[in-house]
Parts: sequence; C-alpha cells; structure tokens
Amino acid sequence: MFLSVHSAGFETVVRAYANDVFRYLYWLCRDRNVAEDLSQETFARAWAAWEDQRDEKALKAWLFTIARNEHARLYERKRLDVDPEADLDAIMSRNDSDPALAIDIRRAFALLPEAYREPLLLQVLGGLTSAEIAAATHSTEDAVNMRLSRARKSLRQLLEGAPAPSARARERNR
Amino acid sequence: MNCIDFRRAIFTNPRQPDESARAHSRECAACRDFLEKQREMDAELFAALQVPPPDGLADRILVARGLRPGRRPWAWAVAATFVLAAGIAWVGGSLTGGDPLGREAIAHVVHEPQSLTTTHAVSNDMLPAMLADQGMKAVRALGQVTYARFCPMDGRIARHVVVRTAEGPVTLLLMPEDPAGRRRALTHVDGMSAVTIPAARGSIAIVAATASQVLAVEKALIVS
Repeated sequence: MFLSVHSAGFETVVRAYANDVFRYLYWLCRDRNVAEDLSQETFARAWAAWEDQRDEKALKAWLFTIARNEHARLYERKRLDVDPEADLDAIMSRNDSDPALAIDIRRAFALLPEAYREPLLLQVLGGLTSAEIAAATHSTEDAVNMRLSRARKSLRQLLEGAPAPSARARERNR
Repeated sequence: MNCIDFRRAIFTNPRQPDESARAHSRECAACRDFLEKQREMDAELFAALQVPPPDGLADRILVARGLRPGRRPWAWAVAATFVLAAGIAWVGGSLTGGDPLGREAIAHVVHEPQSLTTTHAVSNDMLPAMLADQGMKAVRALGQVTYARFCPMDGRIARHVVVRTAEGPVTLLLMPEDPAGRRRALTHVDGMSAVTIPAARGSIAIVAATASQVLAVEKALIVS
C-alpha cells in the first residue's frame, strides 16, 4: 500500500516534469541522446532519494538541481564538445508560430555566455525563483539577479543585430 | 524608482515586477512599453526553448525504475499535442483569505506567468473533451485556447488551460481526480480572482484578473 502511494506520487512527478528536465538538459549539452540519458540518471537519483523528499513546493527546483549535477558529473568525466550553433536549425517545435524568429532566438540564446544562459534557462524554462537558482548554482541571489539582467540585455542586443559578447567576456563569465 | 532601475529590475524578472516597479510603470509610458516588449520577448524565448522531447520519455523513465507505467492520463493522443510540464504553486507570503484550493490555483497561475503571455493557438477541440471527462460542458464557446499543460497540484495532475476571452485570458485548472465534495468558493488574492467549483467528477478552478471574468466563465459551465 505504502509502496503504491509512494510510487504513484513519483509517477505523477515524472509525468509532469520529465519533458522540462529533458529540455533543460538539452540546452546544457545540446545533444538529444545525452539529454535523454541524463534525464534517466536524474530521475534515478530522484527515485533513490524520493522517500526523503518532503517539500512538495520545491520539487521542481530539486529536480533541476539534480539534473544540473548530473550534467556536471558527466562533464567532469568527459569533455563535451558543444557547437553553439549545432542542431539549432533542425529543432522545429509544433508550437513555433514564427519558425524564423524561433531560430533567431535559439541562435542568440546559444551565443550567450554560459554564466548568463543558465540562470535564464532556469528562470524562463524551469520557473525557478532567483533564490532557487542561487541555491542550485551555488551562487548568491544578487549575483543571479545581475546575471539574469545582463542575459536579457545581451539577448535583446543580439536580436537587434549587435555583435555577440566577446569570447573573452564569455570565458570570464563561465 | 527611476527609469534605469526599472529597466534593470525588468531585465531581472519581467514576469513579476515588485510594487515600486509597478508604480513606476503606471507613471512612465516609455517604461510601460519597455515592460510589454520584454514580456513579449520572454514569451518568445520560452516558446523557442520548447524543444520537442523524445516520445514516451516519461514511460521509459518509469520502466527503468521498475515502476510499471500507470494507467495513462486521459486522452493521451490529444495530450501528445502539448507538453507535460508544470510549476508547483509557490508564491511568497502575501496569500491570505479565501478557499485553499482557490489560493493554490491563483499561486499556480502567478508562478506560471508565461501561460498568460503565450499566444500560440492550441486545438479548440481539447477543452470540450476535457470538460466532458469531468461530466461538464460549456454552453457557449469560451474563446481560443492558447495554453494547455498537465501540472501537478496537491499531489494530483491538473489540466492547466488558458482561454483568450473577449475580456482577457482566463485560466481553467481542471482536476478530475480531486475528491468530490468541495463547495463553491470565491477567492481574491494578489489582485487576482478565482472561483472553485465542484464538477460532476472532481473540481474546476477558474482564475482571472477580475471576478467578473471568472464568474462569466463559471456561468458558461454546466453539468452535461
């Protein structure tokens, strides 16, 4: 009985969040196969710790933090080569009402420094608060807010035709 | 707050400006326009990030954990046209008064603001079928559906649907698995209104910016 209630709750969470976790991981690694493997790993760890998870309101932030750690773990094991423009044109979503604009946005987003891109991803895609992003990324809320602000400013400039942030700046912000 | 501070704040989070930013935008037309443009850009970014997930991802995760996939949620074929996702409702401290489910419904909508700014049309066939699943129907067309997701609410899955009515966006949270026996309740929190009503099966929460909007939609729903 307990196991069935226990697993039913987990199933609800998997069905609700698996796609968002996959998307988050995709934008971290830019590889669908790797993102799916990491999604599996994320939920394997979540299931292992499920009994200790009590804070229903923080579930999504908890899952995204596990996903981020899984990606970092893989990154430690092997260097992932990410081509910032790879595959972006091939992503077509049924929801793209303006495919050309969607491609421009994906390209611009991919050009953002990682330090800007990740908090923006966690906020826009994950719906995490600045405090949750700070906890997930081992940063401070003020630093997260500054990165979010700069990320949107850079994205807007990129979409308006300004050059991408310099490699040095990008490296500095990693 | 001056214009520079306002724009910095909006770049940080255009979805939930604080009270001083809201006050500034009421007084400054240029910043109001800036806010609207940034919200549009966020909605476009949100849409652009929606890479299609692999088919059957959730089932494969559950199988790998040794958990047999449960009975699939209602109308999976229809659900495949939109994404499974969610935000657990969480809004800091200012929620007071009203019905707990109404407060949770408002918090959920506030926490998922892109649901209100997304304007992609979703099939209008879906909402009547979802209502029928709860033994309900709409006596008139409510408007174009622009958002549809499954969201966890209180440990159950709710169907989160946004309809563009003539008066603005209205959110319906359809909860067929909600235990029967809820009473109708009206809740006003954080400048939003919600009415929660019992359906023939489960419950429905209707959320909008004004009470007249939620009451108009409530009036259109009857037991089928």
